[in-house]
Amino acid sequence: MPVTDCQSTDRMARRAAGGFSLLEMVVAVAIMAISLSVLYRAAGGATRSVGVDEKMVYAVELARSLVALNKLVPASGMRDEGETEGGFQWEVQAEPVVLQDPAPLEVGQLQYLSVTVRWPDGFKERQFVLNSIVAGERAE
Amino acid sequence: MNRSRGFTLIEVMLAATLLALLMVAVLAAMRTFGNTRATLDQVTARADKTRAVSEFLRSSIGSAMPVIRHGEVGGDVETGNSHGTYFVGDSAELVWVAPFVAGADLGGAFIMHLARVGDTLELRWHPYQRDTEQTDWTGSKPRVLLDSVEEFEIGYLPRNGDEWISQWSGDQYNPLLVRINIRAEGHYWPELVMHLGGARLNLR
Repeated sequence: MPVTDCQSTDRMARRAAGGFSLLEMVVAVAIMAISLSVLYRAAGGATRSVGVDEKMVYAVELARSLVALNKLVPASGMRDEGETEGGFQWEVQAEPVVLQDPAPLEVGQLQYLSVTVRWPDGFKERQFVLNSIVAGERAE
Repeated sequence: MNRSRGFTLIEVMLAATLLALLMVAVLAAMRTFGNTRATLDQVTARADKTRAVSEFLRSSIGSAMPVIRHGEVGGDVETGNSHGTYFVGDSAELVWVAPFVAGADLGGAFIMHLARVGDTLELRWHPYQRDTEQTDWTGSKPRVLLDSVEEFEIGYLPRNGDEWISQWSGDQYNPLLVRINIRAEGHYWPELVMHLGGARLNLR
């Protein structure tokens, strides 16, 4: 035990006098670079999510407007799509609700409405879907 | 012996150059962080404003009440002195009555007045009283909903299958749909469409 103690203090003393070795410096610089890049990426992630949030506000408002515009749809269902300024693609789809027999309402009087808003976000595409049930026009 | 010799000029210059490069990289990173922060604040504020203003307009116009505006029965609709619902507007301004809570002690039905004044979007409100004929707007301070408005347009859809019109003269019923198109601070807003349902005034 005393022997190893002696050896280690000796080595430490020598190392302290000789400064850092190249390997130690390389490791230290590499650790610093990695931590900097992690910090950088974290900041980038925050920026991206704020950008996604703003687009999301737009998409939700657009979808709510589309639901308001399609409160009454044809009894046979409908499908419509378009694109807004700012690159939002929207799609509205209505399908008759199939009611169980004996049905209290005619088929087509209740409609499943699905509004989908899509927008590009970098390499992928994001989307927001609103589902609702609306009235269908009575067949004449 | 060798160790006490110190560094050669080349070694010092190399070290200084490396240090300089490192500092440049760190400074650039710092500046990017600073810019990012400013941009983040701006985008967050814009998104917040869009959300708050859209939500307010959607809920308060969407809950417009078909209440009586006093005036002569069969009077002049254009000047607003006919007897009809309290829902009058054109492409740049709108007057309606809706339930509204402003602060802790105010509530009930309010007459709302939304208008574009210069490049701002202003809202005034006044408690709705059944028997007043002319609303006195002098006591109400306008609140600015939006600055730097570049485009503001209101449209009205009377009935399903009709065309959108740009004037609503306060007849016996509310429009089915109201839409608002806004462009502010160089950004297009999503079209706001409110469903009012075309509620009819009950004159009893």
